[in-house]
Amino acid sequence: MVALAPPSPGLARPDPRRVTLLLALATLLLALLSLGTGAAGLGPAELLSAWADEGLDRRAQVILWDIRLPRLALGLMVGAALAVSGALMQGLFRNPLADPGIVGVGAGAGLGAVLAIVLGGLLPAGVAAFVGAHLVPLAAFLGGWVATLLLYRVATRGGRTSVATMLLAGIALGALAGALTGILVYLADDRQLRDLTFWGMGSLAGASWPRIGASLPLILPVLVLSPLLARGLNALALGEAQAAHLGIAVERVKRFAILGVAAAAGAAVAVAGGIGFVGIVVPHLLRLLGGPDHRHILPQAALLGGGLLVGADMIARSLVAPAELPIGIVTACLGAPVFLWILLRRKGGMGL
Amino acid sequence: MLETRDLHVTLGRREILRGLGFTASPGTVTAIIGPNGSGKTTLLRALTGEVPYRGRISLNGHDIARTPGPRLAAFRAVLAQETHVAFPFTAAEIVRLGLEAGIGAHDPTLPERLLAEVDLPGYGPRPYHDLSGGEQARVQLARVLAQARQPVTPQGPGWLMLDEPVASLDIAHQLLVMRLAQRFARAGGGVIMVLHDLNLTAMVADRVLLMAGGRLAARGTPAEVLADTVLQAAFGCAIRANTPPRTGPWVLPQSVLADS
Ligand SMILES: Nc1ncnc2c1ncn2[C@@H]1O[C@H](COP(=O)(O)OP(=O)(O)OP(=O)(O)O)[C@@H](O)[C@H]1O
Ligand SMILES: [Mg+2]
Repeated sequence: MVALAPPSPGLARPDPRRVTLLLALATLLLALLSLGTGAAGLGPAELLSAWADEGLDRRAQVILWDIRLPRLALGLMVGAALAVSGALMQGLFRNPLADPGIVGVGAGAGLGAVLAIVLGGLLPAGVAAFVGAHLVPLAAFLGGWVATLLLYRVATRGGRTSVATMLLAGIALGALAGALTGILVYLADDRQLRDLTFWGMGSLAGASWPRIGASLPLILPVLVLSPLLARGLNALALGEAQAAHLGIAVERVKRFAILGVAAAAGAAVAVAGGIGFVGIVVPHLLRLLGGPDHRHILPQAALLGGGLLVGADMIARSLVAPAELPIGIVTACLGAPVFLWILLRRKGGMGL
Repeated sequence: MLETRDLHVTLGRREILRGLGFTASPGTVTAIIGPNGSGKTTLLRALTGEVPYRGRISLNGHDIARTPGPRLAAFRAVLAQETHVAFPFTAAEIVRLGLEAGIGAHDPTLPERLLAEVDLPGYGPRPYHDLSGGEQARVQLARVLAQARQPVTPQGPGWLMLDEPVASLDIAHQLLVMRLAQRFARAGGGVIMVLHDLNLTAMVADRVLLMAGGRLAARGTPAEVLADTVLQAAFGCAIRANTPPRTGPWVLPQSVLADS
């Protein structure tokens, strides 16, 4: 990805600010490349030359402004949201295997989406007309929130949230959501089956400015404010009790991290469906690259996650052009081997 | 001043601490000793607000049950009996966690200087997980010293609460840690620490609290508490204690074979 050697024991790590800068440049480059990639056959060279001359013609403008830019923006947003959510969850759960789905966002959103796809036709006409094409994202977002709040309530006693209870209750909730989804799948007709299968594999094809406008207020604050949790998450690596002794308001950190993930990952899953591995692989790569300090990991995760998803989207669009692959397939194909590679090169188990 | 009154702690259904009270003054080292399971760690966890308790604990005049954690962290640093670190932080990064919790600005050379104080010079960039058990213990101690680097803070005397700080250390480093604790106390801070080594206790403690079965079985100066009959009753094995006027008390088990 970025040509930096992983840190070897006892040696100084690369300067985190340089890593951030490199990631920013790489993401920018990918973004520009992605603007010049697409089914319409408008390449980067043409775009640039048209831009340099008297401006773009009408057709190019439409392609750029109504198709490629929203798609790029959505990819950056969704990737950043998933990766930052992953970093927050891994820090909170002190577990390098945690991902945004751990707080029930994935299971809840999946169930919400499937409900909307299969039973959406039963809605009263007025409601259906009001939400229109946004029914599935809306239902997914609500499902994610309901699941998270439910888990949070279950795991919170007397003002203290048990992270372990949340993890285990999340497994139970996931199984329940899976069963309900199964029932709905059983009820679904062929077209609905196709829709929900594709929803589960994720896609940026639904990108549009209104959709970006709806999810940006949920995602952007989390991206911008998450570094405020960095010191708390660093201290939490020593355990909740030690973090409290270090002066961290532990319950507040937990609450903000969980709600932040429900907002950002919930919005991301709602607009782009099930996109796996970004949330889990990005923080891992960053820890290998520059160490586990969350003050650097959180902003870097936004950059790397965004860039990664834009890159994956380019692959998804060009591999079987003019058709496109679901992006979740691409992220899984890229993410799973990278994840295995990380596990294999680190034989020390949980020291990840 | 640390004051506790009529302290009760119940965990699960068991009453672990069954009514104890004591005070500890800044400027002194208080050692908590006693058999395994007698409640030393539980007492320390109550003093640091980790477990719910009945009774009253006040530190520098603050009722700790009513004082927000971040306020207490400004003058109290805590070393747990065991600390697991979740991510591959370096030794310097661990120490920095303590610096950020303490008050005042800090310069970037401080982590290395504090590591050198616990005899880990140049260990800053080394991954914590690659260190030996005793080295890890000293990194954690450096973190705690980083948080409590002012024995007297604007909010009153600083406090070190250490649960078995020397359990995994060799004899030289045990003495080093005792020296650091004593230095902190001589500079006006208060030290509360759980120890198993009765001879170290005799050397370093100004006051000794002997716990047995969730109560204080004895308290006083080392010479008062580290006496044959007191220790034999608490630990249930044959121990000989001696208090020569010149060296202070020392303690010796009778024999590995002897049963009392
Ligand atoms: N969370 C808990 N729930 C129930 N019992 C507990 C809990 N924590 C500790 N205990 C019990 O309380 C008693 C005192 O434990 P504590 O850890 O305070 O002992 P200790 O004096 O520190 O022992 P050691 O010398 O082994 O460290 C033990 O019998 C232990 O089993
Ligand atoms: Mg103990």
